Amino acid sequence: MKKRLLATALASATLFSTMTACGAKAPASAAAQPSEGSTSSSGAADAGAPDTSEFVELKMFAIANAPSNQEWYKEFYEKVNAILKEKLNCSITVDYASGNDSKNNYSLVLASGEKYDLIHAGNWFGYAEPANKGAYMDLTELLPQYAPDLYAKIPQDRLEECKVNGKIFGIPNLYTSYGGGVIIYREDLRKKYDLPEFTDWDSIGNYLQAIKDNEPTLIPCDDFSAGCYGNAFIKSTPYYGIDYQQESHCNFVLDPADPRKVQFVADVPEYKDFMYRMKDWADKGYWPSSCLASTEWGVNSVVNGKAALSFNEIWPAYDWHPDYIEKEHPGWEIEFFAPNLTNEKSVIYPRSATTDMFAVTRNAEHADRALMLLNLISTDQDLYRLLRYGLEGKNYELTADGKIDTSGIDAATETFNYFPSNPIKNDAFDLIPADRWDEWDEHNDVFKDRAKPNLLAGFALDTSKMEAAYTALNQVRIEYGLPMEAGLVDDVDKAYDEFIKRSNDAGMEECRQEVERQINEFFDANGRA
Amino acid sequence: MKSVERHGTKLAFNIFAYFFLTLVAIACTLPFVMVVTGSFTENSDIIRYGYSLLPRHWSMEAYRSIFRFPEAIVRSYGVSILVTVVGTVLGLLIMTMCGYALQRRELRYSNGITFFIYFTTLFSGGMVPWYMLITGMGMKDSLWSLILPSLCSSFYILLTRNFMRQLPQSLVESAKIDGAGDFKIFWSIVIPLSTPVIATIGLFLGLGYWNNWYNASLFIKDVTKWPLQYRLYSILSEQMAIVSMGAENAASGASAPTEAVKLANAVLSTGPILLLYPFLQRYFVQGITIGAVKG
Repeated sequence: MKKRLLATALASATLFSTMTACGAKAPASAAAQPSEGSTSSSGAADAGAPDTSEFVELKMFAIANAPSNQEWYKEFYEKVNAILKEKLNCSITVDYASGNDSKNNYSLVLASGEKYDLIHAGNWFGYAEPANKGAYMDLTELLPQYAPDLYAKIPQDRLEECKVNGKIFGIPNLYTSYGGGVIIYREDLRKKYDLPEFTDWDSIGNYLQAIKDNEPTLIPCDDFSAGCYGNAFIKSTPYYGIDYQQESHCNFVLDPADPRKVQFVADVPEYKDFMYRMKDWADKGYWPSSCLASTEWGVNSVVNGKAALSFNEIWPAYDWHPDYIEKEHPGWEIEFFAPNLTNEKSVIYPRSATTDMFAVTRNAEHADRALMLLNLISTDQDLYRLLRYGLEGKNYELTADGKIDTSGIDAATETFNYFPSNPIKNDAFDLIPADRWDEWDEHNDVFKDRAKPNLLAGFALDTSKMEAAYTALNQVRIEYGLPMEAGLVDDVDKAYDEFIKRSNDAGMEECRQEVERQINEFFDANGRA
Repeated sequence: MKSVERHGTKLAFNIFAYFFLTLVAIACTLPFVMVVTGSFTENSDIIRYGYSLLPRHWSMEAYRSIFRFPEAIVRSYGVSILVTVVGTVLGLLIMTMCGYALQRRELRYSNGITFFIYFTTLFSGGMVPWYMLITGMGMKDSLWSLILPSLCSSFYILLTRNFMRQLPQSLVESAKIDGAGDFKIFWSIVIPLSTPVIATIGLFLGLGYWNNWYNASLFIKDVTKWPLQYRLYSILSEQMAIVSMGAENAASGASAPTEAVKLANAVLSTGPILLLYPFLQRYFVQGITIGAVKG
């Protein structure tokens, strides 16, 4: 154990240096590869279509769990590869990295320069950093050349979002979701105690109090760590979080009404008042005092009947809750409350295009064929359905009205997860899940109508120039900020002052100015705000 | 009179000792019992009421979901046992030989070599070079990547060296006079006398191999070569992912017994290694007494 700790510590220390070291070398090889590819293909392009006469085996690296159902997995890939052999003269094998160690695994693969023709990429894996360091191949020219149909389908602004220093390293999917955070709660209990519908935070407080008073078997709210209570604050305001840390913390926010000014989160006027509220709620026992150490996903607690409300859901993930509750717990009702819909000043924006992408590692050998594959997936509906939903009749059934029905399968072992399908997601080809909430579209349109372009789309904070201060600031936040946000302090005023003082000592202002500089530079470069 | 009194205090002491030790024993076994019963508890009960010694609803769901593909689990057991046995035997062989050589006074530069070995505990190349070394040697997807990296530990080498140094040199000398070669001395005299340290190191080494899932997560992409620990880990993480997938994917509202599976994993993975302790225990006891009769 000790050894592993040491190894991890050493690893994190060396990872950065090695990544930069590899990065330094990368431009040469990255530059060499595409030009090679383009010379061979420019010849082919004259002939009309890219050359696929040579059979190649594509390798893919996926952030996903290796499927435990090996029989179906084999059957699935036999089917996929038969199609690929026929259409593109290639086959594909997937390496999986799963669970908590996937991040480490991913960095190692990139740092050691392994060759993957397709690799999962996304902002949740720090897309900009490896891209900057040259871990991915520059696809700016290759994409239109080898995947012309896909290229034509990706909206220009989403493609812009995926650029790092003006170059395309990751290819976004063709799917947009809206919304942001919502609060979910047991609607049947609200009705039972005849409480008013949620309109503001006081009404939520009333609800929690009623649960506390009348439902001894339920915890009013069972979210994990203070993340969700800090998250609740951001949801209560119109602010944009700039630098989301673990879970839902951010140190710096900006006001969409005045986007060029970056503020420290505790300095915004609403913050302290909200802390009084959190303290009040925590004192009344709306959540366990052990919440800082908890790893419970509050949403899970709500749908399983342990808690009544969770601050920790996002709108796009809400769609299956109503049907699930109806099936598993007849008589219960579940409802959502979207604070950003009720707050006029809140801005709703589409989820970033960089959420799920495919990239190509810098020294991959078959980038051309990989892009042709993505192109094929974006045009071939049958292949898309196979890759996205698996084997019909096994992983899913198609209902009479063309919906995806997975209710008949054993979730733990028969769920389709053999192919990482999020990066290829395509609105045009997607089918509706049979257990989707009937009113889903209607509600989703409300979000969609209010949605505006994300001001910060494509912005990636570079912490390298403020590393020490920024790390210290995060430490202060964990030590002094989280307990206060979860209401677990004796005296809010004192705790707040202490938090501000410690943050200033840690170098908050230095960081704030650096973040503000980067934000403004970003806005200038993109002509936003 | 006196003997009765002594008898009385002895009895009181015994009662106290038995009572106290029983408490300690219960405290030691309770968590394990809890793990076992927890693994047989219905998942929603764990989420709602937490773990309890006697489940409200018994359920085999966790084991059923793990053993949905029994041949995969059996195979993983096989891999784990193979890696543990080969790794422990090879490792013990190399480390005891190394330790033996280092403690011999005739060995030239033995201090230099010792320092060289010790040095590696202080510095290492770090994760990325290590990863590149292993993959560069072509060990990706090979069981050697599970065995070789933790085969030798400098700490254990020094431990064996120090232990063997305590053995009387005259034994070695007399064997030499009787015409035994170095290997014969090592095999027939030093090894039998070193069983306590070999048992200790063997247990650590074996446990290390048995519990190691990390190397598999880095180097083994071929699922048929997964050791047990990584297989169980991956079953759990697959289920957790399925549960939290939600709207983004086709399978929505899926439920899997994740909480119970965690405990079932613990039961399945500790079971076999637990059996090792009784076998090795007598060597530990011996290890303690060996010093006691000296002098």
